[in-house]
Amino acid sequence: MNTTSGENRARLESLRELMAGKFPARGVRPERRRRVGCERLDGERGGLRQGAVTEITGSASGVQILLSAILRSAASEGFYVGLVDGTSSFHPADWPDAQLRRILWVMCRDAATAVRAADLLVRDGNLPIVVLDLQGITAAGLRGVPASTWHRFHRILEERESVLLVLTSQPLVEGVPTRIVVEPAGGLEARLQERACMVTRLGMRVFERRVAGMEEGARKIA
Amino acid sequence: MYVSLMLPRFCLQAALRWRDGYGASIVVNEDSAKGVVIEADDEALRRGIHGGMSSAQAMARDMGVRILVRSESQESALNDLLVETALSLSADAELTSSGQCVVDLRRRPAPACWQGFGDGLIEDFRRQELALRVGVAPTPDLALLAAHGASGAGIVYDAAAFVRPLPISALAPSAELEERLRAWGVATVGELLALPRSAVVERLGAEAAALLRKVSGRHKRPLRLVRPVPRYAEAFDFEHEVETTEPLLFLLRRFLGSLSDRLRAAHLVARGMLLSIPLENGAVYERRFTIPALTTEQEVLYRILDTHLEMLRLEQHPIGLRLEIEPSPSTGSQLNLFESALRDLNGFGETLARLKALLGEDHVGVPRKLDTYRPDAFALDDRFPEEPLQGRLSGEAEASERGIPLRRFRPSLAVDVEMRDGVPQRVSSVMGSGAVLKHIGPYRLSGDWWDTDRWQIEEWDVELCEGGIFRIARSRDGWRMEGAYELR
Repeated sequence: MNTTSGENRARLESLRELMAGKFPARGVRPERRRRVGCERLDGERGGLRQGAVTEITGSASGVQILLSAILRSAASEGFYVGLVDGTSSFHPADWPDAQLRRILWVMCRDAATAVRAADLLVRDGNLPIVVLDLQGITAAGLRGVPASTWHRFHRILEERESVLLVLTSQPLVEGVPTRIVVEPAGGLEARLQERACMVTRLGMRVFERRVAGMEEGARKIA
Repeated sequence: MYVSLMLPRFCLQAALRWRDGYGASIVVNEDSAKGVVIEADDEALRRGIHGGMSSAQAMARDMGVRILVRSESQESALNDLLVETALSLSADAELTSSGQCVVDLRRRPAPACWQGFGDGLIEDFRRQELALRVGVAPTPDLALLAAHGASGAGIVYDAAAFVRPLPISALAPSAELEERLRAWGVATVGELLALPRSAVVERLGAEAAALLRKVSGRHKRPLRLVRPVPRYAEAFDFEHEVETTEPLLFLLRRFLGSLSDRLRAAHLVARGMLLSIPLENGAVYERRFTIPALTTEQEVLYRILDTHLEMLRLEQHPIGLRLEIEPSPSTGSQLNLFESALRDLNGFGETLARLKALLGEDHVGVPRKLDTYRPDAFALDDRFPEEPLQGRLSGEAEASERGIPLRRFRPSLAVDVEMRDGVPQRVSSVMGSGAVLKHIGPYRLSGDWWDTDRWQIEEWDVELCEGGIFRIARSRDGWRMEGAYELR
């Protein structure tokens, strides 16, 4: 009996070695996060996940206010943001010069070109945050974006440290690790309020799920 | 000692540069109606074709002769290369004529072997598929004569022994002087030198005196020093119109190989490139490229051009190609080393080129507000502006960081606006319709009143009962919906 169980264990070990040789496990990468200047996201979670897609969806005004926090963070910390604008609706006059200097604005015609442009920027890997703004694109236009697009982005980002932020009106991105649903930032009376204050009051819900191959909470310093 | 560098058959070498090997070749001057042959290679000479013939006569001798049109741009690029080589030997260099330089090497240590020195220069040019002759002599004029007569490197140690057997024609005298000397029975320089100098000058004048000085071996005339701004440029004129990008890319790779080597030799790096493509209708397509991270890497520079040509569509066929590199001292980039937040600047430059190819030149860039109140006035810059580190860390707060940013509709949308007592009461458009719950406005703006392009606009921000906050604007053309702060 002992001999049989010993043989089985040996067989199991050799089988494991064979499998490990043929299908090596992907190394577990430490989860890194980038602070984006929003206390709700930075305080509890340490920022947005790097090397992953984050979808910000909901009210147009809420999304714009959250974007303003990210751009303020870019201006103060000195990093650049790629803004792939699906409907060319970004309005430079409403943004401070210091933040404009940190934006690479890519004006697109439709969802398909916006996705291609975002793909180029994400693959490039030079910009720590790439924003793909699909708000304002009609449902018919968004239906033209195949679901495989988002899986491709997930795979590309696994090997990079960029954050891909997808701005949508309705939840769209399949298998997204982080989805932030924002509420309206205010009515007309909000026009004189400072955006920094509006961010702190902005209603939002954050849905996070574990990312395969990403070690949560790990912080490597060497 | 003086060293002369000479590119024999200069026009032909310039015209043949970057082309594949071929049999008999001649270069003709297109200025003349008949196309007069300027220079011919050995194969063409063997077939009885020589300078001065018309191209029709040359073709009568050999139907298969390759006829190339003289290219000033290619000659200029070749002269630049020659001058640059001369200046790399000594700062005292003279461009005597096209394809011919003299360098004064008296102020630098003499090489161990002049023959080896000359052969080394010839080998450097041979690697670039160019034939060079080198002459080394105690005077500039003798160095030129030595290069003319040499098949490779001609070294003159004994001036008198060198000049004696030279024919008078080697000194390029005027036809009249040559004829008179022939009448006297003087065929070689040695025979001329045997005559009493004062008597020769008395009878033949100043020209003869100049010829005698040339061959004296003692007359070291001052050089007309060249101080050119170095141009790192290459050019090529096609024999026929080009229909695909393949030959352009092939040539660009070779151009960049040569130019990168030259830049490295001068301890410089490329900070920009100017690509010019002459077209068949006489127009020239031009595009300037900025190199994000200064480099001499041939492959990096090539990828920038390749990406651009990949998406380039020209109205006319190209008939030539020019590439000029803007050099910069290599230390310049070090100052920005810690300023840049981009890891791979050249990779990013390539990505930008791809984005521009995908979306158009004016659809990608760093936004900048213009100094005007005109709505939607902005510019897109090609690169991130450099900022002092201090300003970057401090984080600037600006007045425009208030309120919800507008999402602008480009183009603006048609909208029907119902006004009552001078304020909007009801709005109707494809983006949102309904009664106006709140409004702010009007904001009246105008500008350029002194110009034909004057404008005047009245803007309102309206919040609708059914949801949605929009900006509507009235101008001479009526009401338009300009954008939204909130959609329903």
